Amino acid sequence: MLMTSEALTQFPLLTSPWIVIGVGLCAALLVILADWRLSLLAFAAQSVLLALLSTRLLPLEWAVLRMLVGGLIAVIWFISARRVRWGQRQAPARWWLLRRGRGERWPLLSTVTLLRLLAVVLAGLVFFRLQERLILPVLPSDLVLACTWLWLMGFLAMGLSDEPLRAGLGLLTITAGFQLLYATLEPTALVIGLLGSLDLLLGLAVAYLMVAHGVAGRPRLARQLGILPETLLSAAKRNERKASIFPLLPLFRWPRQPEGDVAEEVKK
Amino acid sequence: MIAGPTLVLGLPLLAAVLVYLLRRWALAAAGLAATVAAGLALITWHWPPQATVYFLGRTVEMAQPITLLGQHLSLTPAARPLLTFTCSLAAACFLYAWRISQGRSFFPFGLVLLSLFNTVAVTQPLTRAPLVLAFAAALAVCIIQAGRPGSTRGALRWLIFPVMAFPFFLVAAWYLSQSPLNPDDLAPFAAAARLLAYGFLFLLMAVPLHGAVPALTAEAPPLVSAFLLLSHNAVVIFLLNGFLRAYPWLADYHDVSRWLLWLGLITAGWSGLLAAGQRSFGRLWGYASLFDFGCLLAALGLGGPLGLPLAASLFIARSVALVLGAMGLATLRHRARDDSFQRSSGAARRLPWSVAGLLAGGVGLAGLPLTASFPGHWALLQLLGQQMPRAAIILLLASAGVIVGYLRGLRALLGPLHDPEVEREPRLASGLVAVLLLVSLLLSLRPQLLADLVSTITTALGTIVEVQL
Repeated sequence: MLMTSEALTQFPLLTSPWIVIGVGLCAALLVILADWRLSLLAFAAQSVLLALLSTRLLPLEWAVLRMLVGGLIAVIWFISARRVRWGQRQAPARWWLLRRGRGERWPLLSTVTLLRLLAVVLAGLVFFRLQERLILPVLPSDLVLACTWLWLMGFLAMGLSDEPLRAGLGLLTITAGFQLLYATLEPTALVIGLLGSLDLLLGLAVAYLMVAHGVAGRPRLARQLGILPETLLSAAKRNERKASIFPLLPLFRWPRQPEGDVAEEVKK
Repeated sequence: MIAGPTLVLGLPLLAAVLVYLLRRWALAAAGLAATVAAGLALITWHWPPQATVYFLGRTVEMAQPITLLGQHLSLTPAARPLLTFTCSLAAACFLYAWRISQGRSFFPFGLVLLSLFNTVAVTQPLTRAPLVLAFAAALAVCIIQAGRPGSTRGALRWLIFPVMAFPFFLVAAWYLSQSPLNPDDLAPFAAAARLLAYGFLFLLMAVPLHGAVPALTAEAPPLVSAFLLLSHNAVVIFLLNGFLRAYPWLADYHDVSRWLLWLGLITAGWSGLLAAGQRSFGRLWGYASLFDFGCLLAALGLGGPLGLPLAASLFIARSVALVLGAMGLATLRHRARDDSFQRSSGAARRLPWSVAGLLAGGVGLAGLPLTASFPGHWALLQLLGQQMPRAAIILLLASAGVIVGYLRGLRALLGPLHDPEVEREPRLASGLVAVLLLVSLLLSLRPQLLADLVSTITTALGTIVEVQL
């Protein structure tokens, strides 16, 4: 089995500052990029680079485990986003529509992207101003910078969007920074496993929220994905019919949906 | 032989599997879930932590500790009130959710969450407990969203704060473990105290980090909100008290009482101000609960011999008011299809008990007379009035804000009927609301009924001892 020390001597790239720069760049791209597919790609790349960085602190197999968790989350989110056609416009840009003044076209550089770029630049200025004061226990200085930058970008991603995908990316970027720090403080299999399973659970929770968010206003898609809790109205009607046949059946009645807007969507 | 922690953590998990299979049959799922939760509440209250009892033909050693995933779990006398509280709260919520559905996932996931909250109560050392809360928050997402398409703000915000909090506790634990290596160096203690303070700021979800509470009450099913809010509050206050008692040197670094008092006053003042302008009962209820939580923090901050008992009595009254408000709101949303003032107009004619519960729960959180919270709020005002008269005025004005919000809601509820198809409320729901209304009234007229319970809780919480890391 390849030990960390051997890996470090065999692959000098692992201690190269380029990996730290790459992690920082990926984290910044998570915030800046408007396209969700590119954001997920940046997240997956960040997981790989963080795993490479972690080999300096952890046995190789544990670092690979972290990379697998990150990759798995990226895949789960990609599938969820694809299923709900995340980010798809209501009226896609077709040339015949655009000629008639209909349809939406993305600007070459959207104002949101510019705003995010500006926010990242400002955060970067604050970061460089404060970097001398940053003290994290035991961690090498370049990893201190990586950790702090990850936290900063995670907060920024969460602060700039209420969407589950963006907020989830921000949340996992923050936990990734913490895991880098904690790998130095307590490099035990139990802790690595617990934090990895928390990441996976967070990934699943965010995927669920992405689906719930993505099917809003699309009752047919919601029914396909089984998001609407049963086709409520039909279930209620079925129970009503049964109730007329067997008077004790209402005792075992199907739970009714409390949210009125959902039931109305089904009606429509 | 079964160890006490195994029973307290394992039984809800085991039941959760069965309930998940039965989730389409509301009666069976609610019945099983409520029975297990109520049974656990009885067990934890009646069996002392040192007891050895026979249960289903097996010996149960309540005091027997276990080790799970490297964590030391033991049932201490201090954990007993918390365990009983979370279990009985879950039982009440499951029972009500039988008739007014809170989403099918509520029963199985509620049981898993109950098990996780119980884990926090029995985990040693305390610094690892917030990690369990992060797991609980991730699971809670399912019952908060409850299959509802659309906005995910409530679930996301509820998820974020515990996940942000646990790293502070873990790093603080590392600093504490370093301190024996160089006992003369006080730097690790200072760093740990600072990190614990940050961690608690996130966990308490008080102003300015309060965004999760109104988002939760606006979007989640009401009983889910009540269950999560009360369990989370109880667990966090238990942890706060535990840390302050287990690490008494924390007081050398932070004036915790002063911080809690001001945090409570700011929370109460700000939420009272915002409550007055709300247009839906969900958000109004959220701000009312924040106001009450601010009062609770202020009571804890008062310290001295009266601080903890007052906080305990406020918490019991808060539980009654929150559950009562949740029951009323759940029926209102279920029948009127919305909780905005505009769309629930005239609902008082069709849902008299639920509307009474909703209003009594809401103004109860503001500490109005003839509600369970009144004696506690009155005592707090008197105590604050002696020490900080301006703070008492802030609290009074803030409670007026909450009451104004509910008066605006009442005006809408008594107005012309918006939707003539609003059905009448179920009898079981009306009955439960009526029982809680009576309890609330009784506690307001005879607050001394709580004296024994408050004394038991404060005595139990006082038994937390220093833990070995």
